[in-house]
Amino acid sequence: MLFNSYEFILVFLPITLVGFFTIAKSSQRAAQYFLLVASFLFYAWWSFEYGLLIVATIVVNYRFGRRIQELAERQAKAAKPLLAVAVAVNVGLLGYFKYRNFFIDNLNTVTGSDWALAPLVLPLAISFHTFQQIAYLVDCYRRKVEQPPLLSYALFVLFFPQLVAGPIVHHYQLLPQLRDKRIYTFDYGSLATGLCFFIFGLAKKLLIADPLSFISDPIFDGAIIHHPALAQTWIGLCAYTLAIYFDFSGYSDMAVGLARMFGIRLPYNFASPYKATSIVDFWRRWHITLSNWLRDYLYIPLGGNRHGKARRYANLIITMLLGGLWHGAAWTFVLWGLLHGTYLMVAHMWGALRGRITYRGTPLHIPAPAAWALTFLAVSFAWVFFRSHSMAHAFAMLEGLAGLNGLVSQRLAIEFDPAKMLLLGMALVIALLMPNSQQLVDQAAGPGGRLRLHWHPTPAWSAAVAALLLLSLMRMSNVREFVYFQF
Amino acid sequence: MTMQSPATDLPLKSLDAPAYRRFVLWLLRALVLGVAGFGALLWSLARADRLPPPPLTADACIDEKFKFLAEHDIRDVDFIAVGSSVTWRNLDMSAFRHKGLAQKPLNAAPCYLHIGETAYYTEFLLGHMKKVKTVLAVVSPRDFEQCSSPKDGFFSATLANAYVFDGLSSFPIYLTNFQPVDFFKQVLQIKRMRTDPDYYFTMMMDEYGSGPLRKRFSWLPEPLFQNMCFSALTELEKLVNAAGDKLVVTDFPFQPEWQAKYDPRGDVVTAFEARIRAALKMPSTQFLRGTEMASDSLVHADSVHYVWESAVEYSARLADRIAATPLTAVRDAE
Repeated sequence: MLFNSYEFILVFLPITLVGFFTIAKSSQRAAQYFLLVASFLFYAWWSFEYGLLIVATIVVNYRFGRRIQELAERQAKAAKPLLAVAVAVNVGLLGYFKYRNFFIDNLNTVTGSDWALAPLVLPLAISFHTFQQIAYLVDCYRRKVEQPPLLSYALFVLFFPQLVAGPIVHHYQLLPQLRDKRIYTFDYGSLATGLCFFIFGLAKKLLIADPLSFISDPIFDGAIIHHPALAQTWIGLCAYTLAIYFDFSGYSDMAVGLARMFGIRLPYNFASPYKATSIVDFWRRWHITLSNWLRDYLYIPLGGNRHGKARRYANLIITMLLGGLWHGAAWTFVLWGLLHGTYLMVAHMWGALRGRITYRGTPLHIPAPAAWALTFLAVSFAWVFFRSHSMAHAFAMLEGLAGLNGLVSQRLAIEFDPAKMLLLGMALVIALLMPNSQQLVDQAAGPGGRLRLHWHPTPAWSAAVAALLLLSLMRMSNVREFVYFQF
Repeated sequence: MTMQSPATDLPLKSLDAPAYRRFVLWLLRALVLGVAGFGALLWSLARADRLPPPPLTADACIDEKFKFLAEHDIRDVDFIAVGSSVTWRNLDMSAFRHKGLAQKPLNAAPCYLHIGETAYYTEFLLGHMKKVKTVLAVVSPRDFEQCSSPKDGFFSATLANAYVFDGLSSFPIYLTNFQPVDFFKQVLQIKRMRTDPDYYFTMMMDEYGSGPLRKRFSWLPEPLFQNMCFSALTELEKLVNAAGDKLVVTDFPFQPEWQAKYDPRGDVVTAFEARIRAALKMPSTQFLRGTEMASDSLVHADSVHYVWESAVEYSARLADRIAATPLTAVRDAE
């Protein structure tokens, strides 16, 4: 089921909310069961078989986790091998569904063989819940888990707001809240703020991201046939750069809002990433829960920055390469990861050098606007690989970006009517000057943007939020999946 | 690694519950008011004859055809014409009734459709119009310019089905498919489109759903073809056959000015007809060459449309030709 569908908004969500709080009045445990069943239905709406698969992974990982922590607490040597087996099982499952055909295709290319496997449908959410459960297993090994009952663990993984495309939630973030009695009492404050998050996310997706995709899609999808010119390619790239932000941050806002309606707080996943003035800053603001996961469960275990500069840079590259591959089984994603790994390496090298290079006695310094522009350009450039269907598509786009197909193509010029350009401009203003959703609703910390704006429970805000919801509902018949569903 | 819960950042319970409660109630009221206001807007536009058709596709011309279908009893139709405006504006459907080819014919063609979209649209119609025996498509090179796959819907079949065949009110369609820019552009034009027969974008229709053109316009589009379009024609033939119906395809007689500009030696037309023939594979399908219906007395409104008087004469010739051609001999004769 999609968050941006009528059946979810008008049927599933109200029934689940009312059911949960009604049942919670008499039994918290029964309310947890109800939420678990509702979450399973939410997933099984798409595929019952894969719903059973996710249930199987929950049961197996729960058993693994308990046993690993038990062994680790006894300081038994078997704990580490068992953790390795458990992680291998999870990675193997992900590999089987996500990377099997990619591996075979590349093997065929290298060896000249002709093995063919039927394409598999990727189980929705597998990349997210695999990472979530691996983190749980590792923390069991580190003896950091207060072992929950199976019901709570299952709800931690299946809880529908975060199930399909994150934020990647950790046991220490969700399980204590499930134990807190207060979430089982209905609260207007949680409902009001949750609704605001949800509606802002819905509007980001339907009123900004989807229309922006109508600008970028023809450019990217037709790159090989139409050979877009300089102006079109840059506009298409800018549109995609903004579209993916509004799409994914919109989804994350909706997830945060939905959980909030149940009284549960999920971690924020985006913090105005395009305001970043360095690539390190960008990764602190973009898909925050994934970058934290990669840092805590990959980069640091690889050695992090503890074994000298060369090893640190290698670790950065490996982490980002695997991060790229996590997004999709294609060389374009690998290259996207490699680019970001390289950016991070250069940024850290620059950080180390900066203090030592002086100009007329003053340490060299990049002015903030130039640093922002450089960061925005580098991130946008990397999106070319992320969005392109193949390397051939990506290189066709690069030709356009370099102006090798002329300055303006008449064939594609009709795509750019004033309304679309106005939308692009407004999206840029919102991304660069406005506060983000958590700053708006929760008045969360951080620079709020040049336009100061805070939500309050006033009639004016209720009218504005209702208008956004109505406009979004009016655009929902052309339902497009969220970009991150494919990962 | 930090092990803090995000829940520790903010209080779990709100301090000012009445204010939040009021906000939620205001929000609900604003939503109800918004929907009511939108309904009032539609009502007042309808009163002023400026209400665009329900936006199933966001193209007024196609949506107007859906409106026509919804407002007429089409379940007993036994002969339909499908395609782009080449079909819509050039057929006097009464000719097929008079010739005994149909008892209840319908010109179901809207405008702008490429042949892939025509295939999708035809499949939608045939899925609900079980009495149809014959499907007629008049085509021109414009229909083969750029095609989507017939599997890519350009409207929601579920919603269209509910509206056209199950009597769904148009309000949910306006509400769920609202596109403000297109909608208000249409508000400005729709009255003229429905009432001015001399307007180039006129959407006035006769009782059979045909959209006559009365004035001449100069429009000479360059012939462009995409291979996928001919595959889509094959798909159209397959789905018509699967429904147990007969497909008749004819290419529109080419305008002399257009031929003089783009095809003085007739090579384009010959190649176009050959590709259509190659795409049509079923023995029950008729393909009729446009030149067989052409005549110097017929007057083109533009390169792909006749003025209505000529369309009437053209339709009579076409009906004669369909009736005169023995089904099984058609492909051999070609």
